[in-house]
Amino acid sequence: MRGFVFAVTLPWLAAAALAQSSSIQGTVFGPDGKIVDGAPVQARNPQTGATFRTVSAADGSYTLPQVTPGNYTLSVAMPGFTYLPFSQPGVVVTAAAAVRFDIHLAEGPAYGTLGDDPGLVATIIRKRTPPQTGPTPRTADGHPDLSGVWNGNDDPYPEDPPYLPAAAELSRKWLAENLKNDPGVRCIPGDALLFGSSTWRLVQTPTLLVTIVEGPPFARQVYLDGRGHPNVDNPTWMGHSIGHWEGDTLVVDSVGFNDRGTVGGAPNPRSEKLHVTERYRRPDFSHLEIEFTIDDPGTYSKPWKIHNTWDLAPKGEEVLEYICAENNKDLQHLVGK
Amino acid sequence: MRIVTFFLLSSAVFAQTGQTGMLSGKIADEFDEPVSGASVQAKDAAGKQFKATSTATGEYTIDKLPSGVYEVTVTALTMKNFVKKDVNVSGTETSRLDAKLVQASLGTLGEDDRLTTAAYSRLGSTPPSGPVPRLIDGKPDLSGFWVQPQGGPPPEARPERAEPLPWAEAIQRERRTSNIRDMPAARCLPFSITDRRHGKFVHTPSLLVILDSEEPPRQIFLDGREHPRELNPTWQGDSVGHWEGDTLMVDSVGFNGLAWTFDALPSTEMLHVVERYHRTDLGHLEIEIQIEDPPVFRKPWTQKRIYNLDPKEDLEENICTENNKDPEHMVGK
Repeated sequence: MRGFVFAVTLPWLAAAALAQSSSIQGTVFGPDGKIVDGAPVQARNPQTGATFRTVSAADGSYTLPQVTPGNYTLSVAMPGFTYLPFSQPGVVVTAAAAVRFDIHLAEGPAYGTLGDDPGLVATIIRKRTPPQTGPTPRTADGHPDLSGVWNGNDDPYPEDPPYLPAAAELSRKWLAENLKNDPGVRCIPGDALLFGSSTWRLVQTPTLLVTIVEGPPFARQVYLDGRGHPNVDNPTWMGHSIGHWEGDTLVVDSVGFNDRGTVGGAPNPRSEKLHVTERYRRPDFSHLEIEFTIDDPGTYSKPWKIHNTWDLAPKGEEVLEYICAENNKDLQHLVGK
Repeated sequence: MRIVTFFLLSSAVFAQTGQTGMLSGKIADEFDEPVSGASVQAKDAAGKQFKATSTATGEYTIDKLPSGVYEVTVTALTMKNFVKKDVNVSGTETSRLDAKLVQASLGTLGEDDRLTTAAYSRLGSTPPSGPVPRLIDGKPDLSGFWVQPQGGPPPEARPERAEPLPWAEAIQRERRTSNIRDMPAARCLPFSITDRRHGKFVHTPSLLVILDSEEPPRQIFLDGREHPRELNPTWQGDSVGHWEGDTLMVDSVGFNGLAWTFDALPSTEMLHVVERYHRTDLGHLEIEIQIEDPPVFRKPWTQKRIYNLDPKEDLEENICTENNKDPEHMVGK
């Protein structure tokens, strides 16, 4: 449930001129009225593209200082399924004004159930393990070694996918029926991207990058041996992936997807024209940055991006065996509307 | 239970003595399509065997066959065996015996074992030769797509006989008589790690990963760690390995007791598997597997398997849970 925006109406306090420079500030609350810390808050001016970002503090407060006057969309996309994504357009910032805006997050489909919320689990993991630092490890051939067990994180500031009209209609339908027909419900690897808050293992050899996943599709191979894509006459759920190095960045190119899955989140349809480019960087020992570019002229009016930052998992944490088909209860619980 | 029918289409028998004759004929399936590569075997009363293989047109000829009475058996991939007793061969004449074979499988395209088996028989059939490739740490590099060649293991690799205890044998018998109706794989659950016929090995100095289209990846940790003290039992268990010379020793425990081990035998959480991986040259990998499961077997037993490298082969996406029809078809008896 990532990358889409819900319009939630709520009362908000009018601007009050307090300082010379303009700002937006307030507190982030959960549906139970408790404060929410670590919430990624974004204000974006859709006219100019000017974007301001911060993260709510331990007391739930946030401040976006020195905001250029204009008309902003204020949004919060918490990782996981605990809260619905929040978006409020039309927040007006005038010159030398401090705008106060409290954000009330609505309940998501997995509110408070720890085991069902990979985002919450990832947050807990992140909080209890200070990131290790150190230089980027390298393989014998001098390239960065991406190998390791990684705790993935969602993109805190997701773009709105630029749906074509038919795709927008389909996406609305899927959301209206509570995603009850998402392929993942039937243990099918429905999304084209291996992204977001889960635990992943990357295994890199000079000729191959393997991503090991808890559950379907279990593993994905990216060929680094210089081969091209085959003539794809059999589109698949995960497509065909090849990679090459551009300096210290591994660029992965994937095509050959079927049109029955999603891309970059459960509400995002895809077509067989889908073309995904991933750029992997390991800037230091314990972080991995991945930029996904989704180009699908059958579904979206222009390419769009997802940014992930993954943290190296603490020693001893592993990608565990997860057999989705064993005692799967999703089907009976996802009853839709 | 399908009915097996044999057709002896024609047989010409001519009596003469003191000479050798010939036996020839045509092997076809129930649609009169020729069956090539079928093995035809004529056995005389003393047990002496004479063999031939059918050609692309299904024809076979066994020549220099001494006069006598033979039992003729025709075997072909995925077809039921054809047996004809009391076939007379006399003199210099050519006796003729045609055979019509019946499919052992249901014959639907997706279940056409002939196609599958033919594809499998090509797998790893001509492994490359050359020296053992090595990793940067000097150890043999086990990477590659490995497949057990068809036609069974060579004689020196025949499996040791397992000695299951009576309760385990009873379960095995029940599973066999119910046409393996309840096998986990029919419900997209994993096979036992002791029963893998092929796999793609991805090997780095600290980790060996075995990938298979239908199975969760198996991770064998080579970084010196031991098994965790608290193990959450799983289908594939926890595997750690270390090198003894050029042999990788892999120790696996922590199984959940749900997987079927070799030949529909049960397993328990006490299952302990010790594997010895030895890449003898570029194209061959020997794996010796010792299976220990005290509640199931009287004593540990060992199998040796030889896998061939198939550089042309790779994994295909196979999503078992997508439109899985096995449970409704595996109705048992």
